Amino acid sequence: MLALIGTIAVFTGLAAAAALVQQSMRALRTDEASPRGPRIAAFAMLAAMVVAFATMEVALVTDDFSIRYVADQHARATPLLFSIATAWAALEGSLLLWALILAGFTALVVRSVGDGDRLGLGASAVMGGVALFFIGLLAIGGNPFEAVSPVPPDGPGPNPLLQNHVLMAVHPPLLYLGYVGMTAPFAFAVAALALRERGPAWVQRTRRWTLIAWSFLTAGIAVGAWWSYEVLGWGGYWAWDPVENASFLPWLLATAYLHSAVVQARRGLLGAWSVALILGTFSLTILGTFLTRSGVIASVHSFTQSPIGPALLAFLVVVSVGSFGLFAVRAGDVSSIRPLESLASREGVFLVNNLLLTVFTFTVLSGTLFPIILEAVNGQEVSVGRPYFDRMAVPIALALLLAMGLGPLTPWRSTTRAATWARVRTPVMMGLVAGAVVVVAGIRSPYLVLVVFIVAVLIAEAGVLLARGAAGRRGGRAQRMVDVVRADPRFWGGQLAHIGIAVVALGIASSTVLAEKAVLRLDEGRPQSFGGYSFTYVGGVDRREAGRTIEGARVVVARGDRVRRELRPALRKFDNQVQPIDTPAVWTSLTGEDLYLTMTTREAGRATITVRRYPQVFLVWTGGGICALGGAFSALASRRRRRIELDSDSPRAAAEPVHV
Amino acid sequence: MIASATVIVVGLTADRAPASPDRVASISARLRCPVCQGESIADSPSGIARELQGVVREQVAAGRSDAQIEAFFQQRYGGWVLLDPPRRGATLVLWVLPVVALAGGAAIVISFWSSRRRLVEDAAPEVGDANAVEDDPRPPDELVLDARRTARRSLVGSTALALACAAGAVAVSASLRGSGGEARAADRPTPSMTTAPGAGTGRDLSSVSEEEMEEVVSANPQVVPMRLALVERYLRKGELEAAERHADVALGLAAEPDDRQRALQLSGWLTALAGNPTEGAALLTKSLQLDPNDLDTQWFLANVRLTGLGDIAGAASLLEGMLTRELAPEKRTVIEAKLAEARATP
Repeated sequence: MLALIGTIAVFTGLAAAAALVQQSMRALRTDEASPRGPRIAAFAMLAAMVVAFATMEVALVTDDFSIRYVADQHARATPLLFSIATAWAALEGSLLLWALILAGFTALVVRSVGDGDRLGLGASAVMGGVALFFIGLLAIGGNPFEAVSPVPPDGPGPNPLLQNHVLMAVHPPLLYLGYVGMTAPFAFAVAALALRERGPAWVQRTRRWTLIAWSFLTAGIAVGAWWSYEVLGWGGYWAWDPVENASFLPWLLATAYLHSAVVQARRGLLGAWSVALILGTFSLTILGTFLTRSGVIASVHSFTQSPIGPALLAFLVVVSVGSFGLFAVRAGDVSSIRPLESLASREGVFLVNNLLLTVFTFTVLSGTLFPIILEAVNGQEVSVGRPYFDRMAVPIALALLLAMGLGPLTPWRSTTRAATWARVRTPVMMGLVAGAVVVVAGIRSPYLVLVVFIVAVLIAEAGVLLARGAAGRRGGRAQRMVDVVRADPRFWGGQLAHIGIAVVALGIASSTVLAEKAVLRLDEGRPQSFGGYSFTYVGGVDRREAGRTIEGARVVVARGDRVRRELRPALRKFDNQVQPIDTPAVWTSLTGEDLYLTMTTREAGRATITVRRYPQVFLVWTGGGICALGGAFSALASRRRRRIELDSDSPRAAAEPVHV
Repeated sequence: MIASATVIVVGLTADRAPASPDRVASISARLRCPVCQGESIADSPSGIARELQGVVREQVAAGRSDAQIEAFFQQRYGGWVLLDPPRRGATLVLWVLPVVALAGGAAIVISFWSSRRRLVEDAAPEVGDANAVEDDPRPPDELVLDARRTARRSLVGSTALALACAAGAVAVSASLRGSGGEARAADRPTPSMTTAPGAGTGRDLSSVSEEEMEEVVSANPQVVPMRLALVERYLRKGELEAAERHADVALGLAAEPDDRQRALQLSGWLTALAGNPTEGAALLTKSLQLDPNDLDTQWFLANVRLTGLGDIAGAASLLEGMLTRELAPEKRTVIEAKLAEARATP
């Protein structure tokens, strides 16, 4: 029954996507260009995908093993939360969620299309085309609603790694919201090229989509890093794994795009470049999906095992060749017309930022693809791993941080040295003082001191800009600050995101430079000390759970005479896997220091525990959260401002020149 | 401000404790764990990763250099084992490309800026003034055209650059492949011939059991060097059936000349041992064509000719050829003894 409903819903969605393309194209050919037809199609598609997804959830929650996906991925013993999350734990389910989100974004885009809005209709057609591909993949490549006969009494349950932490339930939807959200600006960019729409209209229309998608992507990456740290037990949060790079690559280019879009909106520069960036971002989301979903990473030869790999590859080729081909032909029509006056200006710093972000993307991309391409070309197998990416990323990231610190302080257009110095002086002084304090406190790593300096510059800069903006206003101090932020929420959202990035950088620097690691062979009841703490093994824990055995150690952590925590690192041995998996025990102290314990071996009365001390590593996810919040604030607050503007007749100019 | 800067500079330059790098940790972080998904042996909790770390520790203690240890692992497991791609051979491209991209990008930005600046100076000199008013005067028509042309030129330029990068990458990686192979062959420890023929290489992952290596091989069926290491292991232990089984698979899979040469060599020797000296000699000869200077292959072939085929002259000429090269004294002794044996055979 459910299998039938789900299959019908998927095929209805497919038909609606086709109708959306057809209706949009037809409306484009008429004079009035009415969006009525596309709107009906888009909402039908959304309704169909909601029904399909809800059917899957119902099937999972009610243990309906007559559906193939449920039979393959679910077990009666799975707890409710993970039953719900199982809907996106494997390939077909992820595609279903992807299609649902895409249908949602499409409905929102189509809803914003007004009468005679050719650009919007063009974008609707493109979004319909993308939806047609993804729902088609779902319907033809791997229908999760296929019926199973005979119906099995129980299933194997989802991948064990995905069902032991609540973060894994939120991570994929966040990432998909980010990936799929990039379809909207891509659709508008392609429509602008195809319809020869010049100027920043499409950039302004898609700004909010891009910001929202970017915020979700940021949050998704941060949550993924956190999950990797809490669950995988190798002691880190970012391994430059191809799957991680697949999410980081579109993030980098989308970040470049957000900045070039500001320049285009403010100064009418970099028009064609912005188009190229958004086309690249979308192509990279498809590339990322291809890399993570086709099995090509495990081996070049394995990706044809499911029809989805070749289909995604074909779509990637169509998207990148098609959109960049269109771009090559039409770029002149969308390029901007105003001159750049000086490199020592805000535009100049934006250019440098774009250059660095693009080179960063290029480096990560070539490192990720090189082994795959080389193996495909001549069978040679090489690895490109963390040491390579770290070495390449650190200098680029530091240069980006510097540009990020300087950018908001430099004025638009051009400037004199004296004017720049007047702006830069106070933040730089604060940065130097902060650096000096850290050095006096005993930190000798130039890398960490530099990051502290930049973070202090950024925070001081926000303070200086706030104070300067507030100086000319009336009311109490808090009220004036709020007014300043409200006057230009986009800018202040950006500042918040910058501070988030700086906090991430601080967390990375501190937890890398100051990390300590020791392997302690603990005899039961005999404490050993490390990093200012003492560790005592007080006994083992053994548990048998569905499909796995858990073999853990109880370790009492004390500082001085005070017992702080009992931590229980464990090894999980899965019945169907040879290698055991470390389950770390993590404790964040009040001073922000993490103790990260993993158990290596355990014998009678004795355990070998690896202890890692990571100072301030929590800043990495906190900063990621701040960054995502900044993006969301910038996206959502500006909408409120527009409403306020419409209500009041206060001249916009008065609200503008905080940051000149 | 100056005081703070001084504190930072003095603090960072003075009394920096001499760092004592943990070589075992840093080398382990650069070696890929064979059974995991892209983890280094320093990060992986698996048993084999711990054993391999033990091998690294032993080798560091034995005073071998980082490069020697990496070469050792590369020889065992293939180039695949190095997480930090070496700056030679095909992977040199990875180190060159980002620098080229940065330089090219910077050149485009600068040319974009300077051509635009010329435009500004020619067409609207008053705009060059610092802190000018917000609103631009509408640029004249020819400025629009010129700017568009500039934009197109820089776009064409960047596309050409990207294409050139990609083409260069493919060309360089293709042309450097051979030299990468040579470098690897040179890094390989030369065979120890103090023991019986078929002893393979001297050092081995003695602490890793066959079962674990089997696991590695079955987890990475495409990785030929690992399988060949396992063949050598079985060969040395005298488990010829297991060795042959893997040698056959390796011979089927080996695409790289280096792998192919070793696969042919080991299969040839195993075939000869299994009682088929003619076919064994043929395989060894093929292997020798791929690397005419491989002492192991020459040694195997000489033995097959002498004892299997009774081709004394052929064996003697091979052994004589080997003696013309620079050899460690103990190897020279073994080869000379074999040559004497050949000449003594009626």
